[in-house]
Amino acid sequence: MMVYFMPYYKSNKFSCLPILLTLFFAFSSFAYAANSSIHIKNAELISLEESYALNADFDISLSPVLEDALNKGVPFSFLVEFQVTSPRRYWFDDEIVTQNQYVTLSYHALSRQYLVIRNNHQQSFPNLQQAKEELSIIKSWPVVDKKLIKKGDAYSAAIKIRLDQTKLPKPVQVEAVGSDDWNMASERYHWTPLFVF
Amino acid sequence: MRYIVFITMVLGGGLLYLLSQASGNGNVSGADYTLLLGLNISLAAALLLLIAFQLSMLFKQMRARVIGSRLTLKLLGAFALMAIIPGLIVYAVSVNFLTQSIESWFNVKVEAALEGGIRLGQSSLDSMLADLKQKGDNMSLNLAFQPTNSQLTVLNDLREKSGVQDAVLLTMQGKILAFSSNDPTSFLPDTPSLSQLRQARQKDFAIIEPISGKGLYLRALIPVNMNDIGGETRILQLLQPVPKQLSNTAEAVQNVYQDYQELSLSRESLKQVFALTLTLVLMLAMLTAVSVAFVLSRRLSAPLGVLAEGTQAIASGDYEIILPVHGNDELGVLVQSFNSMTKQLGEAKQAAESNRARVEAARGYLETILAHLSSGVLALNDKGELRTYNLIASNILGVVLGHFSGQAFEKIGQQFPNLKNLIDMILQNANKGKANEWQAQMEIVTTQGQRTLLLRGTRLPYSADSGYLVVFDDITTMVQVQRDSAWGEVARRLAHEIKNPLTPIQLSAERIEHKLASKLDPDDSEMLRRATGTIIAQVDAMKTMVNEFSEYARSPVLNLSRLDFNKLVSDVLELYEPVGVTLEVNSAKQSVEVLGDATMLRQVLHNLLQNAQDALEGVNAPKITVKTIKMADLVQLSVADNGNGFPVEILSRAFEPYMTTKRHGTGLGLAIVKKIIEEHQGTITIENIKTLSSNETGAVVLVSLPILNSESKKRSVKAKKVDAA
Repeated sequence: MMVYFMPYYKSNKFSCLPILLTLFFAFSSFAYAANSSIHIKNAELISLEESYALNADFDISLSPVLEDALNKGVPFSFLVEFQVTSPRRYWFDDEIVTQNQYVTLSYHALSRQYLVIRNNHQQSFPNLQQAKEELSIIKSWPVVDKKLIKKGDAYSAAIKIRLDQTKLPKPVQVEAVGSDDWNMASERYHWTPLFVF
Repeated sequence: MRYIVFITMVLGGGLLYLLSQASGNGNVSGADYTLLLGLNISLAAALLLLIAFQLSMLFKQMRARVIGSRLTLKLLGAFALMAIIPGLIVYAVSVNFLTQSIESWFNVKVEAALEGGIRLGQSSLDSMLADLKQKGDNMSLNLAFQPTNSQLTVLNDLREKSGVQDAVLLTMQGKILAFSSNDPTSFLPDTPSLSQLRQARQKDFAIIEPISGKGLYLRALIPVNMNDIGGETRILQLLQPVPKQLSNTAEAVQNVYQDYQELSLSRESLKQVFALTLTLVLMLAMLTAVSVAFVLSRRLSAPLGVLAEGTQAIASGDYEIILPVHGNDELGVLVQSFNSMTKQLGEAKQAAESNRARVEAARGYLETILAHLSSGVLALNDKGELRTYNLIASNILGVVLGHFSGQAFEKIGQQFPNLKNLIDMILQNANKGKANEWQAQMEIVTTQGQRTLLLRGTRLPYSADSGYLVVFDDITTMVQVQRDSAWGEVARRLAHEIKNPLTPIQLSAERIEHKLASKLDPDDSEMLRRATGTIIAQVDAMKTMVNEFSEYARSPVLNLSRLDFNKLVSDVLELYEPVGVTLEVNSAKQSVEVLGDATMLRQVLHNLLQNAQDALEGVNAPKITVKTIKMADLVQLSVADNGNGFPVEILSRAFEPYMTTKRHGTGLGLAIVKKIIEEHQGTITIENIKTLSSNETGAVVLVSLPILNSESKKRSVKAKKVDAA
């Protein structure tokens, strides 16, 4: 909305009447051609000793705007949401477990390193490509306690990854509002896990 | 309406506070900001709708010409202008100021300086890194010639010498062979990543690494080509923390640079957000101001509207209206004064009304008096026009004076020549000016015959109602009465004077005849007898005439008593036995009591019978019919004859004195009868009988007398019963 509204505003800084009028009709978003995207390629649950762990594989691409922002020092926090539900017929699905994980990608200008922080563990990479590779893989994330899973029940698992705009620095949040560049979220990936007992 | 505006104000204030908080550096996220923005915009829209509604109401009222709506519009315009103009100026200035100040944050020099700072940090780190690498190279050369077992000590020595914090010797696979550190707290070295190891296998490799929790570190990986038999390559890792002071400074520069970059990234957005917030603030403030202006202007114009309504009510004549008083400001005082003025007006009008009613009543009273006066009244104004008159005046003059009201008085004289003398005389006297009063008697001829008028004129005192007043009376009857009574007096005296010598004359004549008849010869005595006979007869006639004369002129003194009229009639008829005339009596059976003078009534009967007898002289089969009929409250006596009747010219004047058809007779008979009957409150009429079938003629005299009222009648009945007993 604002993106649509403001260019108009800039050229007529002091005539506010048309702006005011436009304001009420400008509830539609203006879309830029966006190439920021997250796509979930694959996700599965593997059985560990006491729990099931998640392995997942994403495809993350940053638009030039975002890449530029990253190189200027803006940290990106990605939120990975995982959920296992048990479908019910006439009611909302029963939520078995919900797990969240933050993965942060940032650029350290002094050392010229890309840093990926996952679970308080920091890794540094000399280039963005390597950092993205690290970012786009989730490996052995224990998410479901085996006790929660009962034999014979049907379960559904879902995963979603998105850029958490609320963790962005304040000024950037303002920029991010309503922008497709910054609206980076994967689709919800559903699958039916096969639990081995 | 007031409450809606108030609620909107509070709501707007709250939302604006939140919005400004969000626009600042609060913890509100972008989504919340959007929500707040949306809420504010919808509030503004609601305000716009409210104002539109208020305006439409106002215009509707204006179209319906509700009093005060125009004033409300004017006040509203003024208030709104007062709110909007300064608001717009502040808005323009602050938007400009805001953009300018945001722009002033960003400046090429600052950016260059920050970047330079970063670069400086980088280059100093780079040089330190190169130094570390150099040290590493030296250490690797030294290590290359050491046997494996002494590697740890050598490593320790070398590290101590070069002043590096950590030194680790690793296999190609990353397995720790030897570790030396001057940090007593570290038991395990920070190992390089696999990719770093891979890189180090080919070539020495140095990197600056921020290690979480420990700060900036310099890491150098140098391959050590061992000169022993195995010839296996080892990798030496040197880990040196960047000096605290430098790293802190560099980090600080980097943070500022980052902040700067973040800000510059969102520079436009910031401007937009602030401008949008400002715009919304302005809009909400102004819209609220306008809607408050509505309420205020309504409040201000309400008492004026009430006043205007009151004025209209008074203009349409309603003095009862009392306006409600708002507050105690000047408008309230105005309304109060208006109310007291209205009250006074109402009282004044009432007083005027009652005065008018009083004057009207007085006029009505005057008119009533005028109408019931027996005198005619004419009032002329100074111009000689007829102004006031009364009904009697019209009646006396025989002119409808209403036609001449407000017109020149002469016109009456021109239109009615018979009144010309009168009019001229009045005008003449009126124009004389000085003479205040005059009185005159004059005769005029009207449709009722000749009338005698007594006129009195007087000039009204000089004032708005000055003019001339004429009062006149019809004194015809009075004159007649005076004349009659004078004539009666004369007649009475004359009769008395004449009557006195008549008896001596008669006696003397009889005596002359008696004494001389025997002494004269038969011829002379015959002549004497004839002469004395004539004297006696004439004296007799004269006596009769004088008697009648005195009878007529007699003063009307009645000796009234209760008597039975029927009995009276039959008494009289018993005495009356005429020769050669048939008398038919047909009187009512029951007794009829009247109040009357028996002598007088006898005379009436006697006169009537005498008249009838006289009328039957020389008539075949003469007949007199006497009838008494009892009617509701009167008794009627009719005396009819079958003579020739009255001549037509006599009939209308039969009751006037000296009107007679007889050769001898005074002509006073019927006049006396009429007088007596009228003194008894009765009536008398005379008619000629003319029946075509039987060819009968004659005259009938009808006398009606009032019967005594029922109470006295009862008493008389009782008295009769006593008599019978």
